[in-house]
Amino acid sequence: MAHRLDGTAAHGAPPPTSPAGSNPSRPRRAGPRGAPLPRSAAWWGIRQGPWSLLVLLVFTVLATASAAPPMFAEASENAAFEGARAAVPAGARQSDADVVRLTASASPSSADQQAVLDEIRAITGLSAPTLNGKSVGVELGRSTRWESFLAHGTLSERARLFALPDPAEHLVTTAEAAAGRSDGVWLPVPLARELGVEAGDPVTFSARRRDGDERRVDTTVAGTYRVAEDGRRPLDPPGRRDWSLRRGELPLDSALETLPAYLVIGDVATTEALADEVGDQMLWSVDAALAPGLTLAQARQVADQVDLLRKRYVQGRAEGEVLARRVASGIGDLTEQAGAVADGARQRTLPLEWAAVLVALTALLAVVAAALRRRDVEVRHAVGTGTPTVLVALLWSLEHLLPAALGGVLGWLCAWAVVGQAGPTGTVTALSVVPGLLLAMASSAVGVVLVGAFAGGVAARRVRPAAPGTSRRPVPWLVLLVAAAVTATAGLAAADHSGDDARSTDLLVPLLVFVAAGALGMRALPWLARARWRRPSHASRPDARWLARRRLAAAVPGRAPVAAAVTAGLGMMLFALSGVAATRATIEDRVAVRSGAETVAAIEAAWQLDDDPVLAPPRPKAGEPPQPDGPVSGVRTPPLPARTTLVWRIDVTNAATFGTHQLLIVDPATLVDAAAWGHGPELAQARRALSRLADHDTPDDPILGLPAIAVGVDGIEVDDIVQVEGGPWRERLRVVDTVDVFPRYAGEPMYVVPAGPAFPTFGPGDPRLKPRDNLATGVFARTELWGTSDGAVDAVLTAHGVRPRQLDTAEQLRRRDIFVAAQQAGGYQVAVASYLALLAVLALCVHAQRRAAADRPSDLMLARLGFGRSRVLLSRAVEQATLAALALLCAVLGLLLLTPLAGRLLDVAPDEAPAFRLVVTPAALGVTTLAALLAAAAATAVSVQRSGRGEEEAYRTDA
Amino acid sequence: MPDHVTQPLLAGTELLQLYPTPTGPTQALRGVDVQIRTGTLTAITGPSGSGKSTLLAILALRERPAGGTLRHRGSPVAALSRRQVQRLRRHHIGYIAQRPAHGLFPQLSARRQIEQTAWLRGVPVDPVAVLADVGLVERADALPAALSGGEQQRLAVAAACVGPPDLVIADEPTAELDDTTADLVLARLRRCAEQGVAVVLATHDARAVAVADAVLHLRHGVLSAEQHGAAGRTAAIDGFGRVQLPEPALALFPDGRALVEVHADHVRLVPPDRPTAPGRTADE
Repeated sequence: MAHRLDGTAAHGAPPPTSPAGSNPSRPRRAGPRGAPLPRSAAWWGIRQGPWSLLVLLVFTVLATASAAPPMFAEASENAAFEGARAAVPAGARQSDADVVRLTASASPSSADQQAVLDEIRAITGLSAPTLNGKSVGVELGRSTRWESFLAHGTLSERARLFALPDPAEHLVTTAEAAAGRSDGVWLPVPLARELGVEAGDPVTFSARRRDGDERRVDTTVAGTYRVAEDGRRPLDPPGRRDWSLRRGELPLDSALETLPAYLVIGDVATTEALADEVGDQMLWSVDAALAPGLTLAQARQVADQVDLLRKRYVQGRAEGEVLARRVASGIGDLTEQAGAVADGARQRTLPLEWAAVLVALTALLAVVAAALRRRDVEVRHAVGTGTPTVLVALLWSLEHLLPAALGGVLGWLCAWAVVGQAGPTGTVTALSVVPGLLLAMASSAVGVVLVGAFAGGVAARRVRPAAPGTSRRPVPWLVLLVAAAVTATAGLAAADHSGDDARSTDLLVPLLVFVAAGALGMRALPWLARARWRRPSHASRPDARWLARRRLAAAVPGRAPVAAAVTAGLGMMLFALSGVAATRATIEDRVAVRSGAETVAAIEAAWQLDDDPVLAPPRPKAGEPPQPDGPVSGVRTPPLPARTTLVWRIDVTNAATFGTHQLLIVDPATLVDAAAWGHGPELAQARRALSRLADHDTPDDPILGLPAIAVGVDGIEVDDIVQVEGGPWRERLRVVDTVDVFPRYAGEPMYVVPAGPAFPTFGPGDPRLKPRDNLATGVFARTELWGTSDGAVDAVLTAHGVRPRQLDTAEQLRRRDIFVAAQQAGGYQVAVASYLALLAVLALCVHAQRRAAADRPSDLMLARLGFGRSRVLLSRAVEQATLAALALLCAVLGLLLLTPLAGRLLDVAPDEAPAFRLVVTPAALGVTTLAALLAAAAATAVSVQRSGRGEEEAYRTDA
Repeated sequence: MPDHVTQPLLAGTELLQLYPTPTGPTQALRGVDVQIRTGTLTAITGPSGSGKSTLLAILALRERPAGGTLRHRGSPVAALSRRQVQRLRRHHIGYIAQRPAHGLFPQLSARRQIEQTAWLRGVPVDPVAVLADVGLVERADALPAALSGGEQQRLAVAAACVGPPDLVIADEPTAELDDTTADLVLARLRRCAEQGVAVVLATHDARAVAVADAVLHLRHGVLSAEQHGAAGRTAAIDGFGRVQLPEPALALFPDGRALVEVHADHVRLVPPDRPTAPGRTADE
């Protein structure tokens, strides 16, 4: 029961009406100059000393993370495009090169080509177009066997006309050009030699038909030009490849149609006049090249315009035209190729970019949470005075506006610098720099809004706080976090990602896993520390570790989020470094599997490399007995220098399943040194299988079947017998080992057999025998010379004068778009990961600063009670080191959890063998451990700095 | 009589407040009934930990009681929306914290503090006049960090009284002040009350008790006595029927025993050796 008290005024004064009235919703009258708080808020944000710097840093980090992706994407695209342009072979066709050739047979007159020239000129990004014309009289006059000649005196040679606006500009001329003669023609040096003419000499150009009709016209030699290695095609001027690109378009010799014709080159007017005189017809084309230094985006615009032109010309094709209008350009393909490379690079960096932005936002919110705690009195006062929650939110937003704007600009500049230093080599233009700035400012704006919302939310909770004794059910953050991580991870594991980009939720998986691992680890920390603490100890004075354990065993507010942030930072760094290393290793393995060796030369047959080849036995004539089945006497594998080997590939079918397989006949003794074995376990297993095969590499092996390694064959086990046949050859294979991959494995099932016991089974069909004629005998075997370098293979081929049919190198495979993309992304991944690790260091430092400030009084008491200041500080060091070590441990565990799924995030060619395998490399672990040590050291230093020495300092409450 | 005369500004009934501690909830207030009327200066006294600040926080609507009812002009505060509570605080309640800096915005100068409060309450104000009232005109442009503790407290009092609001609550406003400043602060609060504001202050300061119109004494979360000026004294009776006698009265009962005489309209306590009045007598 409570006693009722009456507080009626003792003075007896009547309770006056409140001047403000009694209505709580009394209308507000704004002051003449508005509210002072909003006016001061904008400047207050940058007048809080080190705290303002911290806020600025966090906004800078957020803006960097937001601005970098578009710049990285553009740099990646442009680098890929520059690479694609540079990789266009000199002899590529125009439809494969970065040029445009527009052929429009609107009229045989050059004067009518102006419209075509204008079409090309209208396309921005192309060089000045060149009108050129080639003789098509031979092709159009096939029925009359029309031919053209150039004659001097009694000597004449087949030659055809070619027109250029300024021939001397496009030719590598010889010194004896006739000065001032623009109406003459330019002749190739070999033709001039054959005719015995030089600059200034008169020559006659003529055209004959089968019926004897001949038309002639006299002209003058303006000069001579040098030719390429084929002796006909004009040599490209230095730095240009005009004539190489025209290789397939040049007029052919009318008699030797596989050879280009000798070109009589004159300017447009001269050549057209000559053609008119002799009745030749000219096909006019306009050539233009993509301007140098264009970005992929600009090239795409050019490609789009060229494509529009192509469509327009196809639709406008007139009926009855003899020669169709044609647009040849490889610009579109090159842009697509570069785009694919860039997409691959983006695919690899997306998880990190997402993580970077989210961690930056989290860091911002963590700083705001710390600021709210630091300024708790101020917030309480604002709420206590009835300041509207919206105004509190607005004030906090206003306070962070300037740091956000400044941080946005700084972050944008940082992102630019990071992409420039650690990103791909491609140029970064306004096309991505401006969106980068917009994204930086947008992320800063989002940050400002979040800050306001967070502060407003905190203020709103304090308007009507629950009664202090009321039990509130805490939000189960840890459960929610772990549930989110498990759900996202399960989604990633269950999703079918064939051909699709990773989903956004998938990209969050690494971050969620690390955050959850860190939070779980910190939940276990007090339990672990307490378990150690309970151990009976000797009676000596408590040491620093004892104090550290006691503090670690205590539930410290805010430690779990910090631990999650530190784990996320270290984990993402470990993930990125391991991912880059795994990507490199996977690329090497896949290159090794695909190429087989560093250099592989396809040759006609092995006997070409034998100084003393054994001839195949003569074919039995009709009525003669068939050849004996045994091996031909003296046949051998040519001796080769070290690090080279011969390999035979035969297509065989499985007699039981009718499946097509590859049969690889190898010399195990030399293959082991010549082949590429990568770095992964799959190829290591293949290498071990090869050594097992080497044990059976003797012709006297039991006749159970040829020993064989089954590569990528389903349902085959060791000691299985497989019947295979290739043409007349039929043999049983006894599987001695099964592997998933083997050098030169192309995804189809393959058997590898040793040459020793294999070749005798071919008998007279042994592919090493030199055939007596061109008639095919025995099985068709593709013979390859494998070597560890171009030089090794080239030396063997040169020594025997063998020209390879095809030369494949591992380097060519390494330039595949997805591999290039992976390499491009590597540096950037590491840069982003380093930034995340930096955030981890910062998070631990902020936590250390707060703990040290909060524990100042107890530290002082401990120091004065005989524990000693040095021990107190040492205990801080142990505490921070334990936190960093635990975060590192959680990061490693998180990465181990991610390992089976990493391929889904990082492998852009998951169907290729060997499979992508993420492993924690010693280097990655070492660097991450260093980061953890740095974090612990920095946090300890902050603790020492913030740990007060004096009484007054210890009890200050402004920390 | 009109409502505003008969009705207290704030009326708390059986206010209960609990605080969680490692050994279980502790009762800071154990069913306090209190009424605050306009135009009075009420002092709440009591030893440290008796629940003074808790009671003030509840009266200032800064804390929600764990039990009991608080009414503002007859309306239960618990039924008010969040926005209405904010309006009440903004327009009708001024609060002065024990630590002066806790009642000021650190980023605003003295002049701006006054302007800000006036802006929030929607009233015109002459900040110079307000500051002059507490002797701070010369420090009008100083930030709180540049003011001394006394100056900060005077500024906090001036800001809290801008308007003026209906209710000004001060938590030990003179605890950290020298005598002169304390007198200034109390004088300002007294003037505030004379302007029709209900002023409630928690204090250990005898000077504050002296200027109060009513004094409430809290002990272990229970209002043990209410003194109306120099007149009578009211004592609280707890749930077991116990009552705490004032110090002077205890001297009448040196052996700690009293005869309780229960009359029709009152109870009389007399020492056992004194003759009892006619009527029923019972030992307690």
